Amino acid sequence: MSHNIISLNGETPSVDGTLAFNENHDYAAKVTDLNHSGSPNNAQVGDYAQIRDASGAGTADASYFSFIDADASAIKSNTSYSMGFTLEAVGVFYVELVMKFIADANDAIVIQIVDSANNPVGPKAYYGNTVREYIYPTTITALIDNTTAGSNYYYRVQEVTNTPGQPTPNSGSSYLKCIKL
Amino acid sequence: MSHNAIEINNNTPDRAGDITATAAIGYARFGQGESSAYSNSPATGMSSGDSYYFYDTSPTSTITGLSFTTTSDWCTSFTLPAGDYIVQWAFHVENTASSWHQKLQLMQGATSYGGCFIGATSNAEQSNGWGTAYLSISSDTSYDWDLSTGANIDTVANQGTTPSQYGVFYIWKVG
Repeated sequence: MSHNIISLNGETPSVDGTLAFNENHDYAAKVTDLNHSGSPNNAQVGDYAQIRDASGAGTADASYFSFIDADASAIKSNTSYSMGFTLEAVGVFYVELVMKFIADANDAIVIQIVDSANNPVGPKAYYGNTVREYIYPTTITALIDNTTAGSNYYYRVQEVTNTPGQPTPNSGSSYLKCIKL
Repeated sequence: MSHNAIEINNNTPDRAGDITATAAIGYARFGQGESSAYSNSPATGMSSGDSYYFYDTSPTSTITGLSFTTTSDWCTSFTLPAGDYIVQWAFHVENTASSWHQKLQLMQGATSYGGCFIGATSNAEQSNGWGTAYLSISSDTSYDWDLSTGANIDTVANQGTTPSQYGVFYIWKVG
């Protein structure tokens, strides 16, 4: 701000006094450029499912799982896989997660976002019981009132039928976004 | 607010006169993965045209004027005031065969405002299972949920806690 006596989200009034409202809605975190998901193989109840940053294949780089701001961060199981996220800020977040699994015949898997004590913080999401080789992505959601900064949340395998497992190589099938409301 | 002459969404200017404010988008959630047998709901059947119910013991809403009508924490309807909204919903039900499907519609009276499809049919009919509706409302309007086309769906008594653990709907006030 320079000569203006007020600004809002960096916007200053025009000469007629009009003040534009740049909503500056806090799109708090978004894992970008993910291309597949599904580790661990032969998932078991209690495992944490994983999503993988496409750009991280075969290399070690702390920049993978980039987030737009500091309100959230990825919990990594190694350099390029994430099994959850940390909400660094206090507040209400809408979280949306898409994963993808390979399955045969009647395989099925249930994923749910849980807190660090494995308490569910959103509804379950179900993939499976199809006769397709690939179970297509569904959407896992939660509305989280994060009352403690730095709280961890995980993508937990809650139920399995038969042996769903390996990540699929198809591009564009996985993502995580956390929107601070 | 005390000495400040202006504030936006409870954000006041700093000493330089700068305000940082986040838009106060209205939102609501009903359904958070809790467990209750579907037989505890008012449901009387799992056929096309039967009402369907979501479960939440502590639904969240920041939308002024939105009200949920519930029976034993099962949502029987919700009422929205004038405005523009996006509603998104997902559900899951127990089935009796490997080939099964079910559609769930958002209803206002006898009018459907969209449906979502879940199930496993032979080599077809894949869906992400989510429904989305855009509602532009000029006065208080009530909505509820009805089952539509379905096949090989188990009875209310045999649904167990599946509907309560999977079912969720969100409402976003967008105008």
